[in-house]
Amino acid sequence: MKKRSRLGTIALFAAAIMSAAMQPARAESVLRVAKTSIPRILDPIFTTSFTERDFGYLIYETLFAVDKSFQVRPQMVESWSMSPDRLTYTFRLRDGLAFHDGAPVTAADCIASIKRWAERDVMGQTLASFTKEWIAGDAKTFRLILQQPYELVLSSLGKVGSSVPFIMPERIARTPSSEPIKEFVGSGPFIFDQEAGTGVKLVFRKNTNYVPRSEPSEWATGAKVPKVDVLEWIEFRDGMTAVNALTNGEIDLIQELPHDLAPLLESDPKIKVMVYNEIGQLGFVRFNFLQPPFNDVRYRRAVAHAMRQEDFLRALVGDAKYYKVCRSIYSCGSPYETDAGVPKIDFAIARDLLKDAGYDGKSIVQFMATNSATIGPISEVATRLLREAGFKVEAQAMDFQTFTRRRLNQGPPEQGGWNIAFSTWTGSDVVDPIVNATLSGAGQKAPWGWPTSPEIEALRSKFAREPDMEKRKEIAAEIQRVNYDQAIYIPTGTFVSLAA
Amino acid sequence: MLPYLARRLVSALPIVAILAIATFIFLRLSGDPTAELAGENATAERIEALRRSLGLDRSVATQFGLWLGHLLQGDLGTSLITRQPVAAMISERLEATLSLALTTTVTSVLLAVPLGVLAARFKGGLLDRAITLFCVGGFSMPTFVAGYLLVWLFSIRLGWLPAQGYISMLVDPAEWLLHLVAPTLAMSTVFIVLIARITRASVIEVLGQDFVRTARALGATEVRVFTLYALRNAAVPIVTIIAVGIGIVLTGVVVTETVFNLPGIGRLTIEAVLARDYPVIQAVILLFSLTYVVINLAIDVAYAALDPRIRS
Repeated sequence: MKKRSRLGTIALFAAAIMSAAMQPARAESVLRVAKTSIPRILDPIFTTSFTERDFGYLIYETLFAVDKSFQVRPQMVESWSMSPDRLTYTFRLRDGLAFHDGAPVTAADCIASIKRWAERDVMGQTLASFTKEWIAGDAKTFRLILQQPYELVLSSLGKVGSSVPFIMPERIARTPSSEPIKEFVGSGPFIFDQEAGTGVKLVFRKNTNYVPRSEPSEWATGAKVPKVDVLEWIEFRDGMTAVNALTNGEIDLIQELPHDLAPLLESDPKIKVMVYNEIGQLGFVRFNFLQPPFNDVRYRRAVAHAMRQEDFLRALVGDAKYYKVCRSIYSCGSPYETDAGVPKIDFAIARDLLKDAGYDGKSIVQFMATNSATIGPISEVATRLLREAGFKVEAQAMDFQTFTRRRLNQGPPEQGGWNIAFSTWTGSDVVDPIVNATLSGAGQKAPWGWPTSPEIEALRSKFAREPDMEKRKEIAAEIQRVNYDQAIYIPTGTFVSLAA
Repeated sequence: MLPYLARRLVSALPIVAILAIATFIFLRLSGDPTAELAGENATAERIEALRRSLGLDRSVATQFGLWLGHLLQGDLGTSLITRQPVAAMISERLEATLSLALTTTVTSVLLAVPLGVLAARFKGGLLDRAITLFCVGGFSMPTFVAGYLLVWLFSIRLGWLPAQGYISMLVDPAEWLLHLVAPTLAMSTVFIVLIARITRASVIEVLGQDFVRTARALGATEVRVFTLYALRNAAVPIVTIIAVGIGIVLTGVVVTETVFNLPGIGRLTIEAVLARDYPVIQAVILLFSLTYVVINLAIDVAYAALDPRIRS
């Protein structure tokens, strides 16, 4: 930390020096982290925001977690077993688990937490659809009874990404999933100090009673050992201000460094710019399947032939070392990554498809969330590429909150609806065909865009029941082929997140 | 004076009421926060359920009636996002904004009025031109540019000032002031220019009047001429621009609070607007409206004090 020199300033500044000198030496170690936004709802089950998820990982624990090679490993669970008919899972909690209020973590807490999560999360809902019942045994043992075999039980309980199945005390987990919780007690490595925070700062204190796992820490698995006494999350709405604060030694870490500011810090020998989320983020295209022209697969295929990832990534990130052209619909680097069925980028093909479909030159309405640092640039590049492919585009700019509301309009553009829009996921949200909600072909039950594809749904169901990993990979590849053939979900490139 | 003040106050209340109603209606027309709150994969049913649980499915008239009823009992409501009392959220952010407004106003007045008087005294001379040049430069520079330049010079290069943040006056008064130096300078730039230009013009106008010539002819010193005759008689437009400037400071505080990471009302307003947090937006707009009413009242009082003819 660089000390501020106040030499040569007026008497007022001298008073400040005296004041600083009279402060007692700081006994506890503090890590001050700049965040683009701090969580405000404080319920990582109620909302899918990533900042709420990060909050969850500090104060809560999960039954299982995923390591950097996407292997599911026990976290709160000491041991687990599966019956020969694959219908009963038995879990035993490890010793020493206790909530921040001192109460031990019990089977009842785990069951209540998982049930609440399963009401909100897509993967949880899938698990719930296979579930017959949850049964608490003794305080540390519980069982899951399935109606039919489901091979993603552990992946579901160890889910990373948005809406993680965190374990809370039963009394809190009984809060209806349609309401946010009001009490923030977990069993994780940090305790949330609600009184110490402000509207722009959250404070967490080391949980001295926390018993970490013995395995080394790897991604979301293993030992979670707090190395500071106090962790402060400070909200910096302006990236440049955070860079100034880091340069001046007033904070210790910028968790989400904007890519365009990285060069300012890369040349500073005292500061290290690093990749903090290797699995990255990715943008994607979303069509409104209910309205012309994208209710016709030929128009969707035309778009798929025009989504040149380099254009998106250069605009969004710039430096090629921080992005990757990868057209797999699953996270790049994940076990299911594949190039099956990937269409060629060719604007001539796109234009031919439009001609075959009899495109009459009517404008398509594209929604753009311009105040989003990721969706904004992606949408602007998309407008250009769509025009290059032969579409006439009416780009409608709006703020993100309006975007999230208006994209739910299923009506035609004349009634406030839309034809095409873009959004982003983190890589962990698209790691397989089940967790990837954007792949859903369930029509009205699918997220905004409402694609209907019984073929995709059948393959996803088959994937969920297949125990053999190699066969699951084949099914995943087949899902990707169908996805690109029907042009349901088209990624626009993967980029990593930076910290400094 | 009191009947005069009462008349002014009563005449301002309908404006506040109209503003409150208009804000309430237009906010509802701009959409609600449920779609974002419900999450990326939310179905229409889930969003509707959330809307019901937040009471946003009721008619606008019903919602307004409930809000007004609570307001009359001194309850500003509860944030839709944080579920904290709005009054607590505002009071938590008020200190930083009031501190910045206070230091900016005091600094601006203390610097700008003497600058304007000096420019008037040496009208057409080198000092007048230098002050004019400063004014043109200051007025042309956006607050955020001034802010970044100040941070670069005083924090990054010289290390004299913190680059960002706010320390409460109650925690450490010296650090409070240190953290406000750069934001105050950044915000004062335009304010100083406005006051200095008006002061210069007003003083020049007064200096040309007969009573000043008479005072000089009777042997009054230049200090006496400027302080007792010129500045006092030029005060009405100067007070007006100071009051207008306080309004500009309050509305312009958003940028400064962002550049210097101050936890003030400006940032709270932006966060609430982006999140469609109705109760917070309504309360903040009500607060700003009342502030303007108070500022206008203060101007009226100042006018009446400075010029007894206005009272009558």
